[in-house]
Amino acid sequence: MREHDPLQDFFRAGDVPARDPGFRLAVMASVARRRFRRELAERLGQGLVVCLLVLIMAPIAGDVLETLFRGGEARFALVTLPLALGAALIGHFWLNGRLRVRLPSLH
Amino acid sequence: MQTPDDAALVAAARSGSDQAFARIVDRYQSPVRGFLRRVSGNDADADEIAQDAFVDAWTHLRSLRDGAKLKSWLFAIAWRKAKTRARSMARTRTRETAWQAVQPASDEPQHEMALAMQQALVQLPAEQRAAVALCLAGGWSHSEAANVLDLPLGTVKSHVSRGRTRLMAILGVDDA
Repeated sequence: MREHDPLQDFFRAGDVPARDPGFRLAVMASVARRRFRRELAERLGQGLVVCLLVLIMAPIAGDVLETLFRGGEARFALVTLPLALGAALIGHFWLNGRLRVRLPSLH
Repeated sequence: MQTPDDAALVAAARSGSDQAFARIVDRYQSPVRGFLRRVSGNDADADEIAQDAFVDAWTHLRSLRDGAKLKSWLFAIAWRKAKTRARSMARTRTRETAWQAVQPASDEPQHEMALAMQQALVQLPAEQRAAVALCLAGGWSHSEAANVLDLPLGTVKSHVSRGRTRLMAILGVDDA
């Protein structure tokens, strides 16, 4: 059995330090940049889909809204409030990926 | 505190933990960079490829079926990246070698030995260099290295044996 491999001294001389926080930081910064680009692309895609849906649905939605809002200001408010809440919830889900809303604590 | 194994870190990183992925980087940055430095012959290029390899690993973490095989999976990514960039690196290496040639020799024996090994490794063919870096420097078995390098076992054995003989001759060292 070989007791000492002379090549090992040469290899060990070129070893990289076991800890290198600078390298880890550089990798994690690249990961953050890639994640940001990926999420941005996803959001842009989703936004485009929403825009297309709105464009497709616009004529039908116009007729529906006209029917709903017919009948005075009280009815307008009753329809607008749930619609606004629904839009806010969809926006919240889009940004956070969950429907649960955390309200600020009052105490 | 118990150190989490690779499978646990992979599972945590997959579920979105940046801390777990940072621990994977901490655990494997030294061997991966060491391997790439030996393969590329240029420290700056090697570190850049290593960084790319880790970022690619993060992107494709879901494709790793068995978290326990993280190490060989990471090395396989690093090797593929090194091969892909070999041509552009060759140009850089030529410039770097020329630059290193005019650098004053360091007094540190460790630095001199590392430089001598780097210059000796550059003289080996790329696959032979990679096999030597894994099996002789990294302590991998021939079959593990064959998996990482995607080469037949016999080819890896031959690369390691011939590479070792050639390195000994270039460096002027004898078997103990």
